[in-house]
Amino acid sequence: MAISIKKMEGLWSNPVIARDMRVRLRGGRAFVNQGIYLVLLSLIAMMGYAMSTRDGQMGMMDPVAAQQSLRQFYYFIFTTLGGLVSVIAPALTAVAIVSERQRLTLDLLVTTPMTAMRMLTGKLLSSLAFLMLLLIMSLPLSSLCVILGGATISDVAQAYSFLITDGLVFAAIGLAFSCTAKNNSQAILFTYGAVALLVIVTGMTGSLVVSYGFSGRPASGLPLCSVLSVLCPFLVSIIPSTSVSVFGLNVPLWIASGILNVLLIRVILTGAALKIGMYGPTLIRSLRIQVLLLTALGGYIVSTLFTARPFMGGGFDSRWMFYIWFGMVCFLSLFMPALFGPHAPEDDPPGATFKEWYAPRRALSADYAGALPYFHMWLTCLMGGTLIGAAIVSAGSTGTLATSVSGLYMGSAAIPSSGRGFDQLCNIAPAAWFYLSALGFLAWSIARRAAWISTGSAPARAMTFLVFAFILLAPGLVLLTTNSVNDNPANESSLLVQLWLLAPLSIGNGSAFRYGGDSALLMRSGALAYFLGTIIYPFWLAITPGAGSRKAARTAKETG
Amino acid sequence: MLELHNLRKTYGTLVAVEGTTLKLEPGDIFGFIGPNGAGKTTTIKMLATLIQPTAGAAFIDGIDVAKYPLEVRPLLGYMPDFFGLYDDIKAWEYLEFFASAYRIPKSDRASIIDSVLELTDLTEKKDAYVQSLSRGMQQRLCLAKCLVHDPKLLLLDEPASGLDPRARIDIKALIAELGRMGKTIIVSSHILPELADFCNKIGIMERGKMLVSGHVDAIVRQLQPGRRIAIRTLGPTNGLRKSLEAFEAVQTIVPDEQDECALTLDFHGDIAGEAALLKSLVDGGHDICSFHETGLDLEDVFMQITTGKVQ
Repeated sequence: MAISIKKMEGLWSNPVIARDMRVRLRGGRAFVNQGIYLVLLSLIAMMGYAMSTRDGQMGMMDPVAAQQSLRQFYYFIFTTLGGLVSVIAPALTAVAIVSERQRLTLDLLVTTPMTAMRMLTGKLLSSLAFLMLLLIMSLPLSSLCVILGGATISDVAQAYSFLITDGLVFAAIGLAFSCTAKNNSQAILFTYGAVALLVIVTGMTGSLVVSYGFSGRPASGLPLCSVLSVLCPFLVSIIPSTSVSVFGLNVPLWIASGILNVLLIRVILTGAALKIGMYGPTLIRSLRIQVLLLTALGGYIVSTLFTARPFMGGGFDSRWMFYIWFGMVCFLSLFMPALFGPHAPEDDPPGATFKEWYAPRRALSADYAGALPYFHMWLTCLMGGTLIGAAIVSAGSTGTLATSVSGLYMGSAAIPSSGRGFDQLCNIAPAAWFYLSALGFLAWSIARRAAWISTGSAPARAMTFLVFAFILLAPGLVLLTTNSVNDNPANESSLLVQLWLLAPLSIGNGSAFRYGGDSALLMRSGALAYFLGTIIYPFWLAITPGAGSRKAARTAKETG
Repeated sequence: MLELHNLRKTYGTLVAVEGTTLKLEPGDIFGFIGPNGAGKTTTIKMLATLIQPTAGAAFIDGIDVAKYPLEVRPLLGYMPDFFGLYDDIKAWEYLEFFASAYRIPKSDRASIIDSVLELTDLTEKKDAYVQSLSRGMQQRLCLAKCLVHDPKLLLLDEPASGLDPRARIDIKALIAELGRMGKTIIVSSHILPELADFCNKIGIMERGKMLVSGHVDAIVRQLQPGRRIAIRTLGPTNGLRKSLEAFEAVQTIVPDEQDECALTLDFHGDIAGEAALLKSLVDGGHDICSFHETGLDLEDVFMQITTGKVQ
């Protein structure tokens, strides 16, 4: 306890917070700005009150209509505050680091013993402090909602807690772009773009929650929608005060969303910190572990959402989950060349040999030999999280943690029939893992080989992308132009189809899963991808005598 | 105090710094000389833990810079060639911010800030906003920032660039004073006379290579094995040159193109030989009005060693 109090003290004694607050609140300008803010807020509130209560004719209404009007006033006030948070929070941090870089003060900071994480945490907390100041200044207006009867104190407290966590997430996104952008305008553009996207997506999940509220139908996965929709600041007053079932435990929504947001902020800040100064492998290790945890959590949330979507009609089809997995793997594959592939040749150890191409114990370090094991770990976390989520929802008829875990352990046979395709999912899971890992392996192999052929990162990335896209898409294009797909099931046995790595996604009208999960097709395509990948890189490395030393010699020659 | 072993930095095929090796002791003031693009700033940035070396190693007080950057940072003070200052912040607040970043206890900060302001002659500007300070004062404030945590090594990249003559003299005096305080200082500059006054060691870098490094005197002696003597007579030096050619120890005679009464010669002998030469010239009837040794200055050394090529 003493240690954590000391840590908290250290958190607030961060020099960046003191300096930022000093600069932000210094002089008459801050006083004037805050005065203008309050006047504008008051005017908006008066306008909202007039609109909600039909020009203040409360006395003419019946009590129910009056209560509804006051509730609308509460929604109006917090939607306005949500808009302010969406606009102000990203602005507080979007240029925080890029302006230090442009002002040539970043190097001075980086050469102090202050770590990048501490620097970014300071920036985040100083923006939080300023945001809280603005929210505290709005308290007289929001308290009107309680005094007039439009909301309870707990409603207002929950809405404020959501606004603060949203502001923190937006500020963290701003910091991330601030670390990567080249100039202020680029940082602002990307930050607002990302925040807008997040608000739209979480707003959509929020609309599910609201529609659920009207339908009154049970949906065990829906509270997880609430967790996501909390990230939409326009909905903080609409999201009902509820609990989220996590492994059978009921967790209050504000705690669940708080935990999720803290994890999200931490991974964003760790990634951003990697962009500042020269820091050792500790940050990379930390980032990779956090990404694994978030991937598992993401898989869990997605599967609980999809397996419990009664309001969208129909049961769950494992094909959809497979497509989601595939989409996630493709998304990661886009970054694979950058993460694991074409480093400049001199970044590889000169003695790189066949023995070093796969080293699981280096999976968490910034080492090309650990790249593929890390990808396998990532895929396992994704599927593990997904299966756990699906198992829990499928076992939801009893709803206890013990049932869920035993259901998972015993396999689909022990799980009460949910009719939502979990048994299908279990059937294809091993084959799907094999297939997706094979695609990742193929992308990695091409990227590694491109790194050996090309001297720079950019041409190597382009080469990787083009070759990977060609292998995946070319047979499909030929099949489509010759009308061989979908129309004639007999063609499924043709050689071209056999060689098409994306065949499991698109063969036939009912796809590969029309037979209840065609594991054989997934295994066959996966084996082919593994075969191709092995020839492209590991096998070539094994049969090329002295490849490492030749490369070292070439590197030495190129670097003069 | 500072050791570099084959420190190397490459960007793709461009070699910014190639195998630099160096050793400095406490109190050394090392002048880092080289044309623009020679690799001076890259080397300093590697020592300042801002850039990861491609190969080789650097040790500050025995600690590996690349492996333990966080442990090295309290030992060094870094002043870049171009630096920025925060707006809306006073001089003492600027120093307090960095004192806090260097984790100096709050109770000690006020006295430390006062003493570094006094050392850099900025006490009167303690409450001034940093953007209101002159360029020279801002340079001194940045130097004061480097001193708040009492570092053992100072990395000063072009500390006097853009300063007027008075500010230049002030900052030179300050660096010399810091050297006397026992700090190891690396100063990069391409204004050579500036460094000659207070550096005891120099290193000349060109196209990423450290061409020569060591004590100033040793380098001069290495480049000029004999003694260079300047002679001035009352009349033209034609007769004097003939007399000098008879001496075996006199190697090269260079008449002054601007002044027919002056010449310089390279003399390979000791101080007694010098005295004997003067005596014989006077005895030989030459009207010698000036006879003295001249050394190579840093500009001569630089011009002799470098080729003028850039990357």
